Parts: sequence; structure tokens; C-alpha cells
Amino acid sequence: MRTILVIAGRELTARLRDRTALVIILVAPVLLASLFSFALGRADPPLGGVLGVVDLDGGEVSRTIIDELGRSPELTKAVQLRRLPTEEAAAQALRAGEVGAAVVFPRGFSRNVERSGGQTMRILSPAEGARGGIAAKGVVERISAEVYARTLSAKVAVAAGMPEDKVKSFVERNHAEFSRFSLVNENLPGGSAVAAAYYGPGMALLFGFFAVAAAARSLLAERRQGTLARLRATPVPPLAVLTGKALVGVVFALFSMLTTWLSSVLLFGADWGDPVAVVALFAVFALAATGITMALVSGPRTGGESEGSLLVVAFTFAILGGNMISLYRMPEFMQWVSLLTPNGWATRGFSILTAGDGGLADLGVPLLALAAIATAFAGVVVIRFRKGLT
Amino acid sequence: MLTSALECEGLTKRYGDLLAVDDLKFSIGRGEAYGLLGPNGSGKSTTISMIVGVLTPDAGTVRVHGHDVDRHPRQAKTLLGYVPQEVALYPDLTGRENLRYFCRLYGLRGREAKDRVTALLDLIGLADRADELVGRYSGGMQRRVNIAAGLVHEPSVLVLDEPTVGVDPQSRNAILESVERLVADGMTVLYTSHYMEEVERICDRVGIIDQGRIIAQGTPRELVADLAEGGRVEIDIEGDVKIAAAAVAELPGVSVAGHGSQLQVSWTEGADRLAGVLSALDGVATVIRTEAVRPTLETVFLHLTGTSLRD
Repeated sequence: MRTILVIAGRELTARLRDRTALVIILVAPVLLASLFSFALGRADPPLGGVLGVVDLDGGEVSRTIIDELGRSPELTKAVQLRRLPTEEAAAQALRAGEVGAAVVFPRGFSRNVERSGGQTMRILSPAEGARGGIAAKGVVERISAEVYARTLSAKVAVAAGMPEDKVKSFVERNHAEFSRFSLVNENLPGGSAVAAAYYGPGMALLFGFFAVAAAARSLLAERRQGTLARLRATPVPPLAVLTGKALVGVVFALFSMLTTWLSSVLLFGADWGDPVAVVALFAVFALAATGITMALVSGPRTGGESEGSLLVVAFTFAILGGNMISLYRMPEFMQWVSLLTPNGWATRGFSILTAGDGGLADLGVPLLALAAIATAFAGVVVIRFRKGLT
Repeated sequence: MLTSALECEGLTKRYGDLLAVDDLKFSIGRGEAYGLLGPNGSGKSTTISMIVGVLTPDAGTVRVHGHDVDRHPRQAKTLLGYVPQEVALYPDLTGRENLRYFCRLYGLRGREAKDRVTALLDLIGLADRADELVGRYSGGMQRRVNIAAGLVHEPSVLVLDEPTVGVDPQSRNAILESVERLVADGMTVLYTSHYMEEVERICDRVGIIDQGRIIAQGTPRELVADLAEGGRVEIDIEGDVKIAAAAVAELPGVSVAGHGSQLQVSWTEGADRLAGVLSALDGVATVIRTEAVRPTLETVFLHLTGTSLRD
């Protein structure tokens, strides 16, 4: 462990002395993410596209909400509502790209709200259509706030021993009337915030990749200048060299991605979702990117082509993975191709977090896929090291 | 009781169809300086890489004071110092920082590391330039730090892989003197070089490696004696060189070549055939001067490997 820290310390010193690299991993992602969010947020309507609505409930509360959504001047400027008969129809419309997302009011929704029971609205959004999902989430969050106020009043009444059939009239008498439900003055998510919640993670992933690639470049430099062979002749375990370098790469990547996240929240009010899940995605993505970049520079070649491949791979993965161009706008086969990249999996993870109310528990597949990528490539590097990589 | 400081046995390494090192075996006694000579592609660098634990052999063992490099790398490598052929230092660190870093990798810290670095900088004569970036050093200065980096942990066996390549004569001499001092102080040294005179100056014993195998080994004197029996003489004459050469060529077991006014005569058997050669020339040409040419290690190397060391 001590030798790992010695090697990591040397790596850290070298990295901190390289001011250009610091700018690339800390300033550039913030600037680019802001630029994307601002430019694309202004170019698109705030919520973007068509929002599907499925009313399986048909009760008073759901009808009131849907009518108000249709009348809301702020919403109608931004998004077109499309009524859909069933959840299956909504799913089909999503697949066909006819709606960006859909909100489903389940059966018993109104009754539950009136009787203070739990109520849920489901959001349907394609994983690759995060922006539509973010829009739907914004609407649902506003509705939820209204519903919550209503439910709270009902709960208080029930807790006080009021009969169920009198709760509704009591609540309405006490200013929790759904006919007054309005979204006019609600602060709906703006276009920049929506864009920031999509392109922010994209830029974070791209520059996080660059940050770990710097560690790989450092390994390449050690190979070229012969210091790796010298290190291997010391009693330091071979994998300690790799671990020390990777450690600094991962820390820098996390720092870079966290900075981008923070700037996106502070500058645009973007919501990236559950913070624990965001950090978990960052960490596992950084490990996968580390595995790939280390594998790229541990081949037989140590010339400029190895170094160049890092840049090519970083940009290719970012494009294919939907970090620069929305996955939602790509042809279907390209969306499948994106699954070959860690960026594609991480983008899907962020879609789950930003488009719905997903948390760490919902990230199983993306996290496992990223962990598998990290393990597979780390295995390649370890085998090469054991064979005598110098 | 162990007498070998370094022992290689059955060392084999294959790259695809190429057998780079083939069942190599040699040992170096404690305090001995051993030169490993071989033409390019002979397996010398692969052998060195396996000895210092950078490459894993396909078969065979390397032991340093009885510790197997493959099975007990920590113990073996702690006893080994390695000076690679190319300067392997960090150009963005100063000479002092480079040495301190390598000290820390060998577990030296604090006062101990500081004192060791100071002593080494004095040894290589760079104390006054220690805080300059290595990238700004001359080639010779970098070479000296390169050697010092292999000595930070005071190894008992030092492996030097052509440490004077591309060095100016002054620095080369300084390096050789440093190595001679280490040998005189009792350090075991494995030395490879393209410069035969360096090997003859430093090494007690020499192993000649070709096609991955040691084809001859012994002291330089033994090698010359064993492999260059016979003699070689240069004779300056007045007269027709062709006729003189033809007369000498009639002697059995003698070969002759004529260049200008000089005959180069050699024989592979017999202690002294010069008297017979001079008799053959009697009446054919006038002998002006004769000079016996002493066989050198270079000659031996050429004879054994069929190639010059610097080819």
C-alpha cells in the first residue's frame, strides 16, 4: 500500500505541474457543458416535443390536472399534450418517437388522493430519450406538489377521526380544492436546466475519460523513457505501479466530473438525480475508462499512435455514447452500438436518474455493465503486466 | 554455503518462433565482475531483463544470493541494482528528486534516504548540480545519475547494461572509474558493453553469448589463450608481395594475405611458425620488419561469433 501511495504521489506531482492538463479536466468541461446547456436550452422549447398523457383513472382529480395542463399558457407554449388511451399505446408512441415521454395516471389515483392514500404517477420515457423524460419529470414534480398538499389535508382529517365520505368536502372547504389547481405560476424546468441535465453528464463523462487517459499517457511515457522497466526491477509489485497511476487518474476524473456536476446545478439549476447514484455512476465509469485507456497503452506499440488512439477513442465513445449528440436523436442501430461504449451505459444510467425518479437501486444494469467493462479491460492489462510489460 | 552471488540456470525465453534465450547457464561469484558479451540480437538484453525480473522466463531460474527472482522477487530484487541501457529517469524531476524517488521505492525514508542521496551525488560528482532538472543535464551527467539510481539501496549485485553508450570520453572515463571503485569495494557486477576495452578493464570473467547461448566463458586471458592458439605476424618486405605470399602459402597450416608491402601471416596450430615463414621468404623478398600480433578479446569474439561486436 505504501509503495502505491509513493507512486501515486509521484503521479500527482507530475499532474499538478502540468497546468494545461488541469485546465482540460477542470475548466473545459464546465465551459463546454455550460455552452451546450445554454445554446441547446435556448434552441429548444423548454419541455420539448409532445408529452403523452394516459388517464387510466378517469376520476375528478386526474381530469382536473389534465385539463389544467392543457390550459396552462406556460405549458402550451412549450409542450403539446397528446391523450393516449392505454399504457401500451403510450409505450408504442414512445417507441415510434411520437411522444418524448408520457405521464400515466393509474386506476384509483383520484380516489387515493381524496382518501389520503398513497398515489403514484408513472413516467414513461425511453432510456435513450432522456430529455423527454426530464420534461415529464418536471411536470410530474409540479403535480406532485399539488397532490401532496391535498393528501396532507386529507390525512389530517382522517387522523382526526373524520368519516371518509366527509373528507373530500372538508378538504375543499379548507382551500385544497383541485379546481383551483394551477400551473400558471409554477416554475417549470427551463430549457437550459433540461439541457444541462442531459449535456452536463455528457461533458462530465467526456472529460472524465480525458482525466483517466492522462494516467494512461503517463504509463506510456514511463514505457518510452524506460522508467517502467526500471520500476519493475525494484521490489515494488508490478501491479502497484498500475494501481498508483490508476488511482490518481480515477481521483482526477471524479474531481473533474464532480466539478461539472456542481457547475451544472449552480449555473442552470439542473437536477441530475439521486446524488449517491450520480457519484456511483461517476466512480464505475471512471474505472471502466481506466481499464480501457490502460489497455490501449499496454500493447506492443509505444509510439505516437498509441497516444493518438486515446484521443480518438475518447471522442468516438463520447459521440457514440450520446455525450455530444442526444442518443434519442440517433438511428436505432446507433443506439445499440452505443451499448458497446462505457459512455453509452453511463448515459443510460443518467437518463434513469434524470428522466424518472430512479435511484441507486435502479442503476443495476448500467453499473454492472460498466463494472464488467472495467474488469475485462483490467484483466487484459494485468495479463500484459504479468507477461513482462515494459 | 552459497558462493554464487548471481546464478542463472536453464534460462529460456521464446518469442513466437524465435528462441531468444536457449537454456542459458552461468554464475557469478561474490565480488566478481562478469562481462556478458554478445552481438546485437544474441539474447543479451533479454537475459538481462530476466535477471532483473522485468521479464518472466519461459523456463529456468535466476537466483540472487540464493533467492529466486521469479518466486521471491522482493528478496531478490532488494539485492539487485539495475542500470538500464537507456537513461531511465524522470526529466521533469531534478537529479536529487529522481534519486529520492527511487530511494522511497526501495523503502528508504527520512534521514536515511537524504544521507544516501547526498552520498550518491558526491560519488557521481553532481552535488553542485543536484537541484537542476535532469532534462537539462548533459548526456554524460544523465548517465551518471542513471547509475546512481541503481545504487540507491546499496545492492550487493549490480547489473549494468551498456552504461557508456553515447557518452563523451571524459564522462565515460568517470563512469568506468566509478564502476571500478564499486568492484574494488567488493560489489558483484554483471557488465555488458559494446566496448571490448571496457570489459577487459573491469571484468574478471567474460561470457560470450550468441544465439541465446553462452558459447565460451573464462577470464579474458583464458579466452584468448583457448580460442586463439597459433599466431599472427605482420611482415614488411621489399620485393614482389605476390611472389612472397605464394612462397609462404606453400607452408602447410599457414595462411597469408598481402596488402601493399606487407604480408599478414597466421597459423592456427603450433607455438611458433615464424622461423619457417622467414626461411620461405629467404631469397624471395627482403624482410624489413616483423611484428607479432597479439590476439585480443575482440579477435576471439570475431572468431567465435563471426561478427564484430559493434555490428
